[in-house]
Amino acid sequence: MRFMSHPEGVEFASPLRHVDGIDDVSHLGKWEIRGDAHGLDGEVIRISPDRALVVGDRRPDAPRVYDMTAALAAFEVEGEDLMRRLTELDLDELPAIGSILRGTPALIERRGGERFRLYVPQELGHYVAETVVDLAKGLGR
Amino acid sequence: MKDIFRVSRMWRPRGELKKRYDVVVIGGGSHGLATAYYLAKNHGVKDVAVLEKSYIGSGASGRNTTIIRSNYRTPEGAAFYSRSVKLYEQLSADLDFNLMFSQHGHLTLAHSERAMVTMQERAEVNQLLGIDSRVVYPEEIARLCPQINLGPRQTWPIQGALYHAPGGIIRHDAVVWGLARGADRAGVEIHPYTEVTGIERTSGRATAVETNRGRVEADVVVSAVAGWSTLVCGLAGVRLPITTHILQAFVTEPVKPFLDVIIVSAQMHVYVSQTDRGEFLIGAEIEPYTTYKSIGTFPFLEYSARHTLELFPQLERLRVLRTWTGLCDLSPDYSPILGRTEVENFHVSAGWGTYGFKAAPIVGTTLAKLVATGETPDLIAPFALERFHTDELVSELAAAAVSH
Amino acid sequence: MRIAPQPGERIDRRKPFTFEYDGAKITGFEGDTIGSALYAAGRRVFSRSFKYHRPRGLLCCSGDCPNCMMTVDGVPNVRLCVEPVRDGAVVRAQNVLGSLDRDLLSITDKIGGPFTPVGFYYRTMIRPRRLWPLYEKFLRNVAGLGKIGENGTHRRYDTEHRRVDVLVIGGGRAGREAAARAEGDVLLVDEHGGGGALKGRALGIYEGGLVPVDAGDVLYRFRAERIVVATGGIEQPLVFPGNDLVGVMLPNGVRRLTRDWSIKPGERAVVVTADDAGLEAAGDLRAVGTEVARVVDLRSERIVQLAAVGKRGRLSAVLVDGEAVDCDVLVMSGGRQPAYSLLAQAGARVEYEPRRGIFVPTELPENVEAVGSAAGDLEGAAVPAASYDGGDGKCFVCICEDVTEKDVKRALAEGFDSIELAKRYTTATMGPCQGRLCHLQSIRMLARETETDEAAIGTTTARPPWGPVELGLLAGRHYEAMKRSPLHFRHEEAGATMMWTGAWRRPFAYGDPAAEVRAVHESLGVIDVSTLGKIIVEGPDAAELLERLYPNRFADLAVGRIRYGVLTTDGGRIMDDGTVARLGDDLFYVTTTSTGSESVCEWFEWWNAVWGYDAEIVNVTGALAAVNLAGPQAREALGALTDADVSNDALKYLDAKEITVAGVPCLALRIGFVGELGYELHCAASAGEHLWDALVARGAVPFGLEPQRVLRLEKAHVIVGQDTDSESNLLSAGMPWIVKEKPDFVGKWAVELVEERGIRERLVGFTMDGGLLPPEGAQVVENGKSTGRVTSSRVSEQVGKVIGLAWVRPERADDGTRLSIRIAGADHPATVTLAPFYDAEGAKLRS
Repeated sequence: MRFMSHPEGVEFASPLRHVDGIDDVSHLGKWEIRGDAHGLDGEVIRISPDRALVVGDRRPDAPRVYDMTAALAAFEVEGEDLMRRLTELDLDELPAIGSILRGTPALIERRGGERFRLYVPQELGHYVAETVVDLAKGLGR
Repeated sequence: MKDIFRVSRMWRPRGELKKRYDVVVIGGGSHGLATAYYLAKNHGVKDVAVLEKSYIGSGASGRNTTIIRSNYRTPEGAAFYSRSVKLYEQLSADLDFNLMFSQHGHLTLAHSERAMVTMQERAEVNQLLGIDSRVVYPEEIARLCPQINLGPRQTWPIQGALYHAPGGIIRHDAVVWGLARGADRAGVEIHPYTEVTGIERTSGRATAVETNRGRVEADVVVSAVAGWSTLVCGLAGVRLPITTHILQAFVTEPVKPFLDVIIVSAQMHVYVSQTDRGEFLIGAEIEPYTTYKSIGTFPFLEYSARHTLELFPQLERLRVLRTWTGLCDLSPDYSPILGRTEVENFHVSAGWGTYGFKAAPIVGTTLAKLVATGETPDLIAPFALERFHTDELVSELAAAAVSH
Repeated sequence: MRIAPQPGERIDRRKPFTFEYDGAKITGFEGDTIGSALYAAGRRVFSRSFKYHRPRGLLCCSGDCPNCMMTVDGVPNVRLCVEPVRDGAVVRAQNVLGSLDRDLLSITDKIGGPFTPVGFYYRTMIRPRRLWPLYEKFLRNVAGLGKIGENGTHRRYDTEHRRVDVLVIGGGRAGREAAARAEGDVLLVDEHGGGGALKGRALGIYEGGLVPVDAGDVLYRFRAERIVVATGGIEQPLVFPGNDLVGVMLPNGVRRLTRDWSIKPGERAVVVTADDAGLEAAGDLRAVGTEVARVVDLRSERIVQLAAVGKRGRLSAVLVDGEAVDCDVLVMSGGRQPAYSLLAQAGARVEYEPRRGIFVPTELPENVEAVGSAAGDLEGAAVPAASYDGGDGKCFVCICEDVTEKDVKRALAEGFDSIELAKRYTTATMGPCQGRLCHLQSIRMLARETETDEAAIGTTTARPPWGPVELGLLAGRHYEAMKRSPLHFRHEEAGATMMWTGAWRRPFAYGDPAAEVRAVHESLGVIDVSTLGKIIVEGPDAAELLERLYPNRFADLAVGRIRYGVLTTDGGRIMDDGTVARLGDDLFYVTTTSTGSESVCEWFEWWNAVWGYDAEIVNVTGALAAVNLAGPQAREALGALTDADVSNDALKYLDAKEITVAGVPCLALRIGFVGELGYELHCAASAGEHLWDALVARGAVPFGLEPQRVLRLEKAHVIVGQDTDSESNLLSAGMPWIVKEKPDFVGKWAVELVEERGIRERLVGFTMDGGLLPPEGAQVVENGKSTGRVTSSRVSEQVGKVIGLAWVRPERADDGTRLSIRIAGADHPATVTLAPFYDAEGAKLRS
């Protein structure tokens, strides 16, 4: 299934490319693992006992791996106050999958301190990013 | 006029339950009371008891958003509700009680091309039945409701609407009280705070009901209990293909007249009207999960408020005063279940989703006829419970999604 | 009148603010409310009542009652007693004809008017019916309070989520102590703020420990492990003739005027009290120089007569057991009632305590606790009478709705004998105070009149919100999810007209839809179909899973081949459709409709679990962009962009193959929704624009949804959800060929049932005899009755006719049958056409 993967030599068109003021990391490699994800290299975010997302440039070595690089928009935000306007997920219990804004599914992880990374379906990425910028304005940023 | 200054009882105080009645109607809401009223008035059947587990009108009759209309999708549904609206138009005079029925018109908004097709279909079906219903476009919407926000909007552009001029609002409690008074005066006994706890059957026939105040025999038993239909019919061994959900609504503080027409947006799950008292009455769609627990939710208030402001941004500073919930009994095809069941002489009015209140008088007249004559009126034949066994559904889905 | 500065006052006299009231400039100080500043400036009448237009003055000074509601800066119903002063505010009286002091509508108070007696409107204007609208218009105009401004204020409202271990609601002594005692992450919220409390009003206690808090322009949605309710008690009015006169106040009104704002409320006062609050108010009055002429402590003094009399609605004297005392202030205190509403909304029971004459909360829900006055921890108070006699003035049970003792008695006499019925008939407790100042009074009166006790009467259901809340705050920011295809911005750049399909934005057309149709038929077009649902089904049981889900066969599908599939529900209703391509022995690629991807995915997962198969179901809808390249030149264009063999032998109709196009690896599906030679190309979403640009550069003309609908209708291809509805089955939709003989598939029994009993309607194609286009939704009629409906209709240049799909009776479904279709009130002839309107044999697709 090579068609699932972004080809080399072609510019990566991020779903967030038209939103100013968003810290876009959508280009990061993202791989959905079905089955056991123990012992995999890279950053492994476990979603359920038999599902995980691996973030990294290299395709993980596992029997059932699906390239979700293009499927998920990813961006980072600073500040628990902003996060509290995005989601009611418990920020002390991350990473977690839940709802942000009003029902948009997201995977959220803490990147140290008050920095958070969010993964959202790419088709909703532009909308989410625009809204995050608006909500940040409400906090005077 | 002089009448109004004289205190007269609306109905007799609750008396003792008799051992036996010709007809026992379970449910003292608009359907049960209408059935009893028309039994006495149209058929001379007066040995009737209406059993209500709480106060009259305590269920859906007193919790709905009081909208009366007939612009349904299926010819069966539209014909049925059209008769109901006509009966409602005469009901104040019939009952000699002002139900404050105000036919200011009803606009069902369409925010997409698909929704416009649904409106067109309903208009075409309605017009063939002589119902005043047509598709209107933004210019006319602006004339009918100058307050509405027709400006450019990203998410919910108003492409048009189904306009139903006879649609209106009514004082829902007054309907209950007027029918109760009419039934009482005709000899019907009304028993509030009388809960049915069992239904006896003898060789496939309903013969008596058990209540918290004792056992009562009856030749015919009618169940008209909306949200509790599955439970009450279950007492008679009748299983209904119904799920029960909550529906929520709220009112705001009263303000001076701002909005005359009724505005409904199915896609935004909101409907808005202003009562004669000046309150905005705003309702939502049925909640998707099933429950008998009438507990409101906060997200309902949030999305209803947001969608109301999409339509009327001027109401931003208006304050919500009170929210409430009611139970809705939803059938698979969004059409009612009306008439006979497999238990002889046990008839049912159920499956009303969000559209039961607007059917009260027609349910009353048709059920009364069924009880009195043993014949199912043509108008309600398509709504028989049996249709779920013979697979002859009457799908209001397209219209009921545009409910209220 | 403002007195000299005193210790503890809450105003800062160095900081003046000036606002406008009825054209006059009024100055207050920081710490004042608009209400207190107006009172200090001599204003006594603050509003006119709902029905009778009686003058009303400051009563509670706590934001509870309706007496001081005015319109501020165009916002109606603002409670001035709690609205902080600010420079430039424009304050106007509302619900008056004339002025507050001379309101022409107050005639309703004098002559009875159209609103009395209670329920009057149910008994009048019944005949003739045509007069009702006129009367109603009058009713509507006199009802209501303030007026909605023309435009919103465009205030910014935000919503914030918070989590705490313990949330304490109410910053009084009990609340502060509870907060100090509590462990973990504790937050105190109070309507007036101060003392480290978050300033805001808790609106309700919902399931899951959700407590929304109104903090003005931010709505805090608290999730708390434990909730402590310390909302205190609510001072209760007494019921006696004239109890609404201007000058009659609750103790808190006096307390705030005197202590917080250093205002002398009047010259001479009388106090009638059931508890210490009234005595304290007497002390406050004396401290600012008001003479206290008489204090009646109901705990030690039994009175039978109490009445207030006044001139022009302003208090002038109080009658106590025959004794008349001149005064301009009357402090009434009927004791305090626990503010249990939040608890009752959360599910607590409320029980009557006859000894103290109050309702107290019991059986609190888990994780909810009540402390202090809210829990019933109140000092001893006398139980006041349900009402006091003493004159012929109106005796109000509910001041918001102008419901008098007489109204309640009358309602009872008419048969409205339960609290719920009486409430609905009289409307007592349904006004802006939300029952705070009238609920107990209504119950007490009903108990007395029905000769039972308050416990037997019971309370009405407590309904959120606890405190009126602005719609804008509840609404928050106006954002709504919008899905964009990976090619979205290319469409915008090309000037496409965008339209909504579900949550997606899609191009309707880029210019003239007819020209785009022509391009596909004559040369080459390309359409963005990225919104199609895309699901990978992989695993040893994948083939078996699909075999049982679909009515047609998939186990025998060869690798590299595609088959059309329709999903049906358990009840045999058409649910979704799409193509299924087999990419390997254990690997399938399934497409669904644009709106169906999530529900189909869930459907697959559900059955996969039910049957216990080993198959992974992966929704890859968003991962991939997809385009359909269609037209007679499609092969030539594709061949120029790829090294792969795309000849008709190497990539046949209904073949699926991975090829690289313009440097982008694609899954090429050779299918023909639009009726011409065509290839669906699926690739990584992030490479979608690159692929699109290459195809457009090769001469492919972008076409939108509208031309696609014309093209597919020419082929009589069904759109699920448009041509079918929730009741449609495969046999009536004209797809019996889909159903294959096999042991089981979802909905099999239902299909067999339909087969046995025959279909009741049939989906057919039709052409109009004339050129008139029936709208979608038009009815097929026979003898003036509806017997069917049009679901799709378009003008087809290619066919040279108006074509469409319609549901008709099975008896009218044969090829060539004449139909009548009603268009704008007239019937127009049409002819049933069962074969596709264009390229009936499908030669173009296979070419």
